[in-house]
Amino acid sequence: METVHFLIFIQFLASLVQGDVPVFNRTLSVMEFNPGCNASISPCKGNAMDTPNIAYTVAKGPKDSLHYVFSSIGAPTILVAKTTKTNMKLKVNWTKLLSDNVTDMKNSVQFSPTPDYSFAVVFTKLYEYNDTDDHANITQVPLLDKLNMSQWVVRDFKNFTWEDLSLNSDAKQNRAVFKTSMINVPFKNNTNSSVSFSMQVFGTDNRETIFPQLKYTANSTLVDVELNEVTPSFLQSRYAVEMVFLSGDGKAGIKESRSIDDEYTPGVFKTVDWKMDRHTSKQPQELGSFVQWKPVCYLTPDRDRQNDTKVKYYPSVNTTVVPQKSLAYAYYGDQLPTVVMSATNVSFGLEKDKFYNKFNYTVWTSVIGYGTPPADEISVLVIVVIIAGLGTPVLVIVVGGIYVCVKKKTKLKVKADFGAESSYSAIN
Amino acid sequence: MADLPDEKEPLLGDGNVQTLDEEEELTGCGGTLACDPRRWLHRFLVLILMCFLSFGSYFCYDNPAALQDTMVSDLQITTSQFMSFYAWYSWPNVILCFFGGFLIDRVFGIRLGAIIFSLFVTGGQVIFALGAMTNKFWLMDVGRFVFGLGGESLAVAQNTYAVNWFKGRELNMVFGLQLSFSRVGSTVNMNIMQPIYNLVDSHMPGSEGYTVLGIVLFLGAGTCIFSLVCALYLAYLDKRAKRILKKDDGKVGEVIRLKDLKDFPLTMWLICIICVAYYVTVFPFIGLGLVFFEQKFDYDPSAANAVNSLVYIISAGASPLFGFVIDKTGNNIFWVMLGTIVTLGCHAMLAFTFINPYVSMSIMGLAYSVLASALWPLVALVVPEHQLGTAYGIMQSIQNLGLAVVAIVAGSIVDAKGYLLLEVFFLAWLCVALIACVLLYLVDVSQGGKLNMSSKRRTLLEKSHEKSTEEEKKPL
Repeated sequence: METVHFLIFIQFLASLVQGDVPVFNRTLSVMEFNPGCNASISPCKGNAMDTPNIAYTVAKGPKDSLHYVFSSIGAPTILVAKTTKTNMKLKVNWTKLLSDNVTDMKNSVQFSPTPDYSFAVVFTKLYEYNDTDDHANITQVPLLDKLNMSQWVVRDFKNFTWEDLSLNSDAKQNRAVFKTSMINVPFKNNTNSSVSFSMQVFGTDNRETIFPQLKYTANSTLVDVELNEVTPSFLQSRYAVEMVFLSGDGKAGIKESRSIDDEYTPGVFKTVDWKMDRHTSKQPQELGSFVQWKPVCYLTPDRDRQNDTKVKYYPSVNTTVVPQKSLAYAYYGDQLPTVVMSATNVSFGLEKDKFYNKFNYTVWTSVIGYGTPPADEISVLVIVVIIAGLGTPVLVIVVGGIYVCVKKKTKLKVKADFGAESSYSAIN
Repeated sequence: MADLPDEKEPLLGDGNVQTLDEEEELTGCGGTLACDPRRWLHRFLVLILMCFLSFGSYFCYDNPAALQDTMVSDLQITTSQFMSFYAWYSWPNVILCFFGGFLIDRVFGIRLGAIIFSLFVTGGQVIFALGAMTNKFWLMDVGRFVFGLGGESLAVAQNTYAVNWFKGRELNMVFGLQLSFSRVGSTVNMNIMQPIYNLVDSHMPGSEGYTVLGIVLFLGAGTCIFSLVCALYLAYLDKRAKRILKKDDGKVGEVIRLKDLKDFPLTMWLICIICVAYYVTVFPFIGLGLVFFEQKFDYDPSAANAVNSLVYIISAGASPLFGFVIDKTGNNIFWVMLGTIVTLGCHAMLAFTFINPYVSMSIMGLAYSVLASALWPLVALVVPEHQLGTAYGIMQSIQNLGLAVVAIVAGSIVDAKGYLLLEVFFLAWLCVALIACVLLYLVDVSQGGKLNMSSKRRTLLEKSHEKSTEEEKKPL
């Protein structure tokens, strides 16, 4: 165990010298909302309370391009496709996509020519439960009983209605915000209630400026899930979201890693990586995809540290069910039987944090992307302080040691010159 | 609470026990073994009272540290605001440490002085609890300020009592016992405040967090009231002993003369730097330790508090032991260097590894004991006896100033940049202490090396010095 700790230390020293992931930039196209959807297609007219929402951005890099498609159709979904071909385009058959007949949705969203690799992350359900024993653990609540749902409220995201994407998003910043609209039946009569998903694409490596100050890369998207004044059904409500991670080629697993560095999220020393590694064993190993987060979420909009609480995840399971009305279904369509799907729940809260009811707000940030998850590195400030701090006494000791040695030598020399006894010995 | 020089040299003061021709006749209960101030059992009982005199203030000093997580959440304060509870305790003592002796000797007298300081301690804790109960942060800061006015001065009063009753060969043992007792008080606080909070919370469901916090702090004030009762009873017994034994009142005996400061040698200032640079890495760290251990090592609050209290409980036992050893061996500067380097290693362990914190905190407790036992006696070696009062005073003043400022800075660092940077901050201070230590050694070597002498050489030197002065007195 001690070797592991020592290795962490060496690793941080090594990371000073080189970064982990090659650094490059991508140019981002301005985000398009509902590409190809115009008023001539009747479902596209939509209404302000329940609009079809697709946001589309292309991130073009030196070697490959990433096409990002975000949608709230059916369920909030992030679909990412990687290609080396510069002419790949998104094709959406809106009539089929928005048709009432669910099976029509299959393959209504396509990329042409086909991408090299793709993956998707779908937020499928919102769980709310009554945490009477204050364990903050969804596996410790009495299991969903078909006859008695008194301790749970399960909301499927496919039943939500969403506001027009363009109202809340920022196309120039490549940020799409999907916000539930007021007429949502699952929530009570609070006009401010909303659940929103914010997805922002980046073309450079950097770090967000607000907590949890996650690092993002040119291959990733920052995703915020926000529960704003969602009227709780219980006095001791806690929430969780269910997520499904899909890919045509992969094997998924969740791993938590520990670091000595909490500079960017004070008090949080762990990072959770839900990785979808490539199944094929080609060399060099091809890049897979990931969902990364820190196990912390914030109970106030200004995300102050004294009101942060824990985010718990549970072991992922392989699944075969994906919400049919979602973008993932629309894209993978016929391929679904061969697609790898991994699902997990992420719950918010910690014992004694006075539940969701204290502030009626929770926001959780994650980074979803292609390739290797970003790794935190110890900042230059820490290194400089350590080197200066530990180096100076060493320097002083060395200089002082030399001084003492020199002094002793000259003393001996003086003694040798003037004879064995100094003339200033005691009188007796 | 920061250290006082009581661990080493006894403060000056002559508890004269004059045996006059007429001795008071003690009749009835007064003449029994337990009540006769001349007999050992009575003095032993008085010793117990003396030890409990500052128990309440040591207990309540670290209430914030023991309840950090609930305080931050219930009062909705930042870590920096939380650390102001410690800063406000230290601020008054930057100046008051110069006046403690004066107040006891000239203004109040030892008995009244102890009672007054005890009242400040109790009153301060009550105001602190009231502020928590009413969710008024400013009132809590006022409470800690009042608490601070009494806390350190009460320790001076406790030492003065000790010198008065136990001057002679028992004094070092009594000092050691008092300090150990106080450290035990701090440890007890760390380990029982959270369970008490949980108990009160479970009995008051639905009440606001800060109300529960206020109640728990009021319970802490109970220890201060207990100490106040001890002060009152001790005053009665002391007055009685004065009458029976016809002895003088206890005096602190130090004279503080600020103009002495210009005479202080460089070594004295280096010792002050070592003192402040070292202590700011111990006490503010313990103040912030609870949440650090909870978050980095995933400890629950009771385990985190137990680890946090290790430094105190280990120093309770180790300080007297190391005091004895260092007295025997001398070489004080090497011991100070050792203590500093070992503490540096402990903070590095806590910062850069996930090694079990029980290890680092235990070692830190030992290193702290070593340094405290070796550092304070150095003052007596660099400064003449009539300036000792001023020397200790300035050392404590600087120490309190450092603690007050660093407490707030440390809290801000945690809020903005997390615990790794906090530890690096403490490492930087320890490097400053280490540099000062090395410089002290070099300056000392260039001046003949009397600070770092082994005690053997020191006694030889003293003997030859005595002999040579004797020789000088002989007529030629």
